[in-house]
Amino acid sequence: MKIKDGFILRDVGGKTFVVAVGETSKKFKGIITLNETGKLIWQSLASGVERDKIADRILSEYDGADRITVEKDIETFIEKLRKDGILSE
Amino acid sequence: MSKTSIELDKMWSVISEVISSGGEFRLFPRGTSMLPLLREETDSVVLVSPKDIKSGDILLYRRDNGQFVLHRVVKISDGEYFMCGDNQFSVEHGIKIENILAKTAYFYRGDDKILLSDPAYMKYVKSLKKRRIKNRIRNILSSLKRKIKK
Repeated sequence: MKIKDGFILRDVGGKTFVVAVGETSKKFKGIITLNETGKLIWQSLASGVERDKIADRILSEYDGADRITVEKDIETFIEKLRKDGILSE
Repeated sequence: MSKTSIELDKMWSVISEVISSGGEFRLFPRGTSMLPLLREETDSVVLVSPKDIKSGDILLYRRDNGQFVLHRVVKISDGEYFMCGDNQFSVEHGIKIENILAKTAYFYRGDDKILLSDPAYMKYVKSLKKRRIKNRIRNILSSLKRKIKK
């Protein structure tokens, strides 16, 4: 599972945005805004990191986060991306 | 995904990357100057690289004071672009190619995609000249009325 080609992530004015470029932008128009965790998940998916490893990353960066909640959040995020056709299996 | 409102001057560097990659960017313009064609928060334009600009095109440009504007070209002469909103009658002078950032390839009225070759749209563009003259006359008359009242 990976983010499809044709998306770029940019930090602008303290916020993180994802937009599609080139041919991909003809299907996906507009802007996706990400929070800190969203950015971490996106970057992990973009570099091909497996789901359980993404949870490890988040747990190591945020104190007090529990694995069940984190895994649930990752699942919700991935489901959203899948629904919008942004992920390749 | 839901709509997000972001200042254009902050986002321009990102949008510019999309456009210069040969891509398309959907923008929901603010304001009333392109009424009745573009209604704020409802209608949107799809921007592409500004190639082969001709009279009648809707362009996104940046004034020398930094302001972003989405208006229509009404005339091109000696490298100068004369711009006007569909809901306006005063033509803006002094816009050069370096001010122009993007052009509209097609647009959305609500969720309906409208091509620039759409007959109803073409008819609308043709009617704009008359509409501007009417607006100008109305404006002169109302300023005369104000003067008479004084």
